[in-house]
Amino acid sequence: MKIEIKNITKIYPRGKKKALNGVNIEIGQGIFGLIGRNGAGKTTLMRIVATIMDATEGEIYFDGKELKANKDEFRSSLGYLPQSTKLMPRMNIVEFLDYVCILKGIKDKKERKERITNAIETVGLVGEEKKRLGKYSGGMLRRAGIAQALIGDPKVLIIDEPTTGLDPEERLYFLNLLSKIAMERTIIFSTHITADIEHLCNNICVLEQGEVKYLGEKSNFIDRVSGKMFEHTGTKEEEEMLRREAVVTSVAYIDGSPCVRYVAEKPFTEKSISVTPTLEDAYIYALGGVKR
Amino acid sequence: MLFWRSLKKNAYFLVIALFLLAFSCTVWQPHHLIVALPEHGFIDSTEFFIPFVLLLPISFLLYDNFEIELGLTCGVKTTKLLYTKFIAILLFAITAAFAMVALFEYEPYVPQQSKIIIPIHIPENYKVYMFISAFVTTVFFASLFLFMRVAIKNCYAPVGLGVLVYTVFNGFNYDIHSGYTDIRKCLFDPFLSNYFMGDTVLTEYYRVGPLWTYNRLLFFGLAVVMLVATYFLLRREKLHQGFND
Repeated sequence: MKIEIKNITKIYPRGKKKALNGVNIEIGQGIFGLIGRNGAGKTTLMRIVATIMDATEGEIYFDGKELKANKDEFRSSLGYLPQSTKLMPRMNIVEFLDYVCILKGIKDKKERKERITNAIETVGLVGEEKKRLGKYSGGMLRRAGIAQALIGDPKVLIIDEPTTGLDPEERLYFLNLLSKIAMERTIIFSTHITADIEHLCNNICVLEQGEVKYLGEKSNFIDRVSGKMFEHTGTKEEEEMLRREAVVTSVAYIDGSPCVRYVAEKPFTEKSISVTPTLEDAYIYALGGVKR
Repeated sequence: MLFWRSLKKNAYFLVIALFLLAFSCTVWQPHHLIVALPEHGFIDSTEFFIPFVLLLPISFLLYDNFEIELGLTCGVKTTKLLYTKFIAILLFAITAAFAMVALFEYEPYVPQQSKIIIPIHIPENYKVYMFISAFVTTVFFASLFLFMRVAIKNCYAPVGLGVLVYTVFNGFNYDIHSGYTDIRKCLFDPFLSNYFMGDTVLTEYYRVGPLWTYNRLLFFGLAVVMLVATYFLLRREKLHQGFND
């Protein structure tokens, strides 16, 4: 499914500034990564696309149809995993998914059972059916959330910051699961962790203070800093100088010495070595470098 | 489908109500429930207290932000989501109230033996009025809790207000029964006692039959107004901005 976001602006009733300001994005099949700091407007955009809230201005189209006028049709092909990690703590996964099936209007009991079994198998929660969701770990909860999003066999999945708070193993499991279910679907995946989308998405959008900072292929985004990325290990004074003169993307202290990654047209010190940029370098550069 | 599921899931309310009812009849205040002595009003009995307690979960159980968002993305309007749960809980509370009313018996007023200060004739068909009273009071409080939950967007305000109203009117009711307060003020008592609905007043006070009718109409009207207001609040679909629970 193709989603076109055209000139979306959102001002909250009591908000002083625009949460989103003239956002234009085109999203096709596959996983689309939406990156941005906390408060950049990712969740607001996700909620508007998920038909949970209305934009102040602008339109959204899916397969050429206007979303506002065809909400029900869009919702029938939508799966949504919100940022909330609680789900429904007093239910077990089967009860929870059964409720979601009912909300989606699936009346036939046999069909519901079939869909629930398939969803539980897909997300790898077989054997955990009797446990209440309140007793699930963070990773299991996210998988249960994906199961609920998948239950109606949606063409579009909207997943809002799903990896926050997960341990590395759970995070990898979750990302692998996402890549598995991405076939023949459009997935909009928001995160503030660049590593999440490093190997998952080809197309990305960087949001900053409600505006699109970058939209396009991930490789082109990284290319913006390729040949300009250097690493320098030296003294505290050199670190301060680099912070003033270049755009620093990270500083790590190794045995007390600062190891600074920075973007510049040419190396600032003799000790600087050229390095291959990562998505994180490009992202931090787009945001104007690291603060303290 | 959603409503039947809600009815099934909330059926334990009725079990709790029946348990409380059995407890009230046998242990707590059996004379209030089965045979109400004239010196005790409705509020001292359990027929409103139990539905009242049963209605409080409306404030907590209706739904949370996740459920609203989930409902919306599944194409279920917030109003539908809310009313399916609300009506199920209300039905059980009314059933419990009616069960208690059915068990309730007044003891005739006996001059010089009872402590009551304002002796009012209890009509023979008082149970019909009691059913109406129970229905109106239950619907009123259910609407109040629902409205507060949606308008103020948290669960503590309706519970706090409910407890406050209950406490204030408990004392108020007692004052009226004891003759310390002007009986006309009972027009604004949501727990209006059946004592005030008789058509014969045995003292120099007031003819209270119409007062009872006005009172029940007033509280039923308020319930309807609050339900309509809630409906319009929900139609705006603004609840996704969150509850402050």
